[in-house]
Amino acid sequence: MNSEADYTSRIQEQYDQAPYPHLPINESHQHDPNSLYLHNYLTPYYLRNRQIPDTQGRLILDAGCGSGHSTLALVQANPGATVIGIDPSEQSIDRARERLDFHGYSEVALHTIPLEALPKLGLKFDYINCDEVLYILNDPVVGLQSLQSVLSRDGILRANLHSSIVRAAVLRAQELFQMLGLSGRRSEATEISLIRETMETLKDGAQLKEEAWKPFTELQAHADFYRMNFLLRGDKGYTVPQLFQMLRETGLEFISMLTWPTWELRYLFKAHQLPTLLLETLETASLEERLHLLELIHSSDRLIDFWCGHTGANQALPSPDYTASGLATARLHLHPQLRTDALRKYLLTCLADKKPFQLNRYIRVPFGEPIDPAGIEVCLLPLWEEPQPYSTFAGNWVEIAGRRGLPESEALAGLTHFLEQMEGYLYILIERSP
Amino acid sequence: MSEISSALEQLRQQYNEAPYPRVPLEQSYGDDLDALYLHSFVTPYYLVNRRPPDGQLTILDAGCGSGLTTLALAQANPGASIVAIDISEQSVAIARERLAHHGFSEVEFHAMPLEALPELGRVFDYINCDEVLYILPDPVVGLRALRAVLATQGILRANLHSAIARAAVFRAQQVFKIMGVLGSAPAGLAEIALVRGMMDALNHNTHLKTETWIPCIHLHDDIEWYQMNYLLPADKGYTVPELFEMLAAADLGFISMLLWPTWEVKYLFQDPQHLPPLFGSLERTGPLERLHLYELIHGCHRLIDFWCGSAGSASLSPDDWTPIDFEQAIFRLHPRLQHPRLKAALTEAKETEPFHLQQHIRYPFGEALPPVAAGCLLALWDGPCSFAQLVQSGLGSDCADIEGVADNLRRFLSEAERLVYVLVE
Repeated sequence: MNSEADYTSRIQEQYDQAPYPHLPINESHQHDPNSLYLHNYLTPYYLRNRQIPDTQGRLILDAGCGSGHSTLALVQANPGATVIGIDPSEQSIDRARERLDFHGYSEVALHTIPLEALPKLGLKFDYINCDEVLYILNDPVVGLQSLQSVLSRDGILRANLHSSIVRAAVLRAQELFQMLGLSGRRSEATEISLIRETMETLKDGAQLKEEAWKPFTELQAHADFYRMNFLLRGDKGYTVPQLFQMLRETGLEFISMLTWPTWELRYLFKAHQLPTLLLETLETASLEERLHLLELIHSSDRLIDFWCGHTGANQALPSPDYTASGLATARLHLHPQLRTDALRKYLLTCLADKKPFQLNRYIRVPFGEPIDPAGIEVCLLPLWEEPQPYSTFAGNWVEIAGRRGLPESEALAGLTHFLEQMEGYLYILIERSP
Repeated sequence: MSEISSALEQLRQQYNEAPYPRVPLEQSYGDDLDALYLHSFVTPYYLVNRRPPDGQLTILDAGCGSGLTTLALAQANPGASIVAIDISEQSVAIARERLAHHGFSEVEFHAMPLEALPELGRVFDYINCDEVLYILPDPVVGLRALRAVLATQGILRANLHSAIARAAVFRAQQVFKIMGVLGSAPAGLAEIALVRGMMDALNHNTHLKTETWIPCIHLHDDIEWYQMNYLLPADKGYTVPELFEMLAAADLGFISMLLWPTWEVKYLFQDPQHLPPLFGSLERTGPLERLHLYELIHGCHRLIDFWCGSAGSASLSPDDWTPIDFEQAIFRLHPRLQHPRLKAALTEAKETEPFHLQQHIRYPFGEALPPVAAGCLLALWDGPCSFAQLVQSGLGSDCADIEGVADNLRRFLSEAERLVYVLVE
């Protein structure tokens, strides 16, 4: 128990000294559709339930809010929701308070408490964001248990772990510098300069230098780089099977990775062609095995960043029908983070200048394949006004395609493909009648 | 227990199907100075005792496979009495044939697991256990069995796969396990074709391909390469601290890595003579810390290949050399360097011309030795020499520059002793 308390206080100390992330207070997410899209409760909810949730009055928790950068994203991405932030570090909470006040969100409540104390708040949350926290806890399962206990029945938790595969070299560097006595006895500036000197005097070709130093030349002047990597206390790496084991132990169920298209195996193969044996393997493979195969073959993301909910909250959904008959009574919505003036202006400019509308220049997450509306993007315009019945949208589409000389059958096939892609990345949400 | 015995049964079948290594019977180490040096008991014995071993030598090759290591041991230790064991009968049969082919019919072979070693009722001065521990269900059980048959002053050479150097290969093995290609059954041509198909189909920039496949294009047609890497069942990786824990659990004490200069932290820095401040006390840390520092910075060794002995048996630390007393000392060449090939090369060189010994032996990959007059080394063929005798042999007919020759020879002998090329009495 004592060592547990020691551990917690050492971790807390590091964040008291340097609230994370160390970003200017005036930095806003308002013009960052990528951040807003990922922090919007609607995104994971729709991904799991294929239904548009009512976002009004939802209760959102930022667990481990640090200096409040993620809290601000949650507030800005979820208008009408109530956001609460907690963090064990008092200094971090002070910074978060300042940040939220600066942006005019003084009503956001912030509490200096550890994860374990969450149940004492007596609240249940619809959405919990727990970013860059789990992997520095002594036991992430204990943290997940606290979060699970305050997650509403239908709620969704976003959390992440460091990947032991991607982070292997940094974890080795941490162990090295700990062995060499960098344990906080010296000033941070001294420790940083000792690390720099070590890395710089190593031969080129030494693996630690090649993997944990050279790729980061532009960061080597910043103290944050050392704090969050070589000097980060309590850092640990995990694999997908370890994540799934933790979720099972805490009564949670995996929903999706945040950037799920980057976890698709086919992108790792030439011409996206999987070998026959792998296709056969995947027929019976669990989601856990698929994701594990991917990380074994190619991992490039430092984080295993995921959404999960209570066990049993995932519903078996039929595979979506994008044909005219399947969507006859459906209504199409633009994802709220796309329904912005900025994107509308970009679309109008493209139309006026007769340039292709490249949606992925505006939003890159969840990092899927580029979307090509094949010259029929003008049909999207009414979606900024209000949701469109499928029949109206399809009518427009066929008509405009016709003017370009496309027969109706081909136009409808193109529309099916377009909607499949757009809903696949949640750019268009389809309200299907029950 | 039954889990362990079924794991051993799998190993037996695997190596019965494909005795390792698959190398022609004719291959010999007779002229391979590096292999002779490394398999000679003199090398580790001198590191620990600073004198050559004497008396009748008994050697065990534990996990002899197809007998290539047994042959190296026989050729590197003439006159030794050798026992070789392997769990696979098939491997033992090939090994016996190999040794007989090279005239070592007196080597004794047994098809048995490591655990049964104490039943032989013998102890050994030197045990070689190469490429074995990491496929055992529990290496500590294997080490304890070896420890039980190791003589009091005996030395054991063994190795583990490095978890760091081999990380990508372990990931590949996991992939092929999930795909059902790597299982308990020995891998044949069908499995190899599946591995090849999978690796070929991957994009060139995927990590698994850039780390395990592309660097080995020269091996893509080598069946054994697949069997020993992608498709090696029960393969496991370890770190230096784990090795030291295992040794402690088996009541063994670490002596040295086989190629010890390649584990020296200072060579990882641009200027090995001036290390950064954090490494200032490196000299005072123990082997565990130094070797672990090395693998954390540069995990380049597939094998953690080491010599160890009974705990506390090492009388001298291999890192701790006392200066040679040149007035009193008697010098010998490592007996395996006393080889006709080296003698021929020395005779060919002019007696007074500088001779680069490391052009003829590279192990253990030490720092470059100063060149030495060929005559000095040749003198050692006729028996142990004093420093004065060596200086005399290195002088030209004009006897000029006696001080220069002596200085150079002093430097050479000090360095050569640390690489166990020259033995000092």
